[in-house]
Amino acid sequence: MIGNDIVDRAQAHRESNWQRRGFLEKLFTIHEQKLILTADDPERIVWLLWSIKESAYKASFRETGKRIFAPRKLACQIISISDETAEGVVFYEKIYQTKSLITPQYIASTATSANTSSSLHQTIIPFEKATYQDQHLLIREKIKQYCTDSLSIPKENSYIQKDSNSVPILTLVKSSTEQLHIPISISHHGYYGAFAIGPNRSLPA
Amino acid sequence: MQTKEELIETLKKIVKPYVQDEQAFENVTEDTDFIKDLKINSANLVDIALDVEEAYDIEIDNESMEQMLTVGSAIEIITKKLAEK
Repeated sequence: MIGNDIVDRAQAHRESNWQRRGFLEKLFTIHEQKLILTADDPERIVWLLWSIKESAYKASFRETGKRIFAPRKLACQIISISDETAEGVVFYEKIYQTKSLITPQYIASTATSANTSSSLHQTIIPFEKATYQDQHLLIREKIKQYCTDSLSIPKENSYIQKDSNSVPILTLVKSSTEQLHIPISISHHGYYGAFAIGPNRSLPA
Repeated sequence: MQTKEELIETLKKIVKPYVQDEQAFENVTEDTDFIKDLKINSANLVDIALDVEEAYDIEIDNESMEQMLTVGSAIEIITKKLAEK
């Protein structure tokens, strides 16, 4: 099970005031609040933890279909962190492993169930426009392009559908008898989009 | 005590700054989903909970916030918390 999330840091800075009274308490566990408040750049840790939680929530939702807004129940531990990357685990009914990329512009995270050994592929897409509909279409085009290019099949032989829980799945028609169904996770925020593609032996990691 | 219509109007004022899909906002009903329909960023759901707390002088506990995903569920929670006051 996979999940991915991206936070446009400038957009997050405009949209949310993490220093607002009650904000941290409603979103983060005591441990996470401590990580934030003792950091050199607290805002960076706020959005790192948030993208980790969101990616794990999406991975969990894909499995359970359980929709809920309970950010404190997704308990994060950061295993390692550098200027540009972070690895973590999230406890939420089960254990998820997460990997994050940190740049001055965005923070992007992916999550997988801890028992899966294969790693995910994640692509980041900078957008020119911040409008939802444009991004919605462009990101889907990029997903199809990435997968069909990797497998040398025509782009027309790919389509993205949503299952009954609104979780997106990419279908690739390889031949009249062979179809691949690949779980994908899509995120966009501000001027950035990201997609993650579930472990699939046919595709490069 | 506000009527349900008045509650929806107050809630619309609270939610407006976070809405990304203006068109869906024009047609808000009790079934309107904050994230799926109004495209509100999930981190802003917590701002809505905090704004509701301030506007009504109530406390939205974590258990209630878990369910605050639609206009209807938010109204239900506000009504319940006001009745407990």
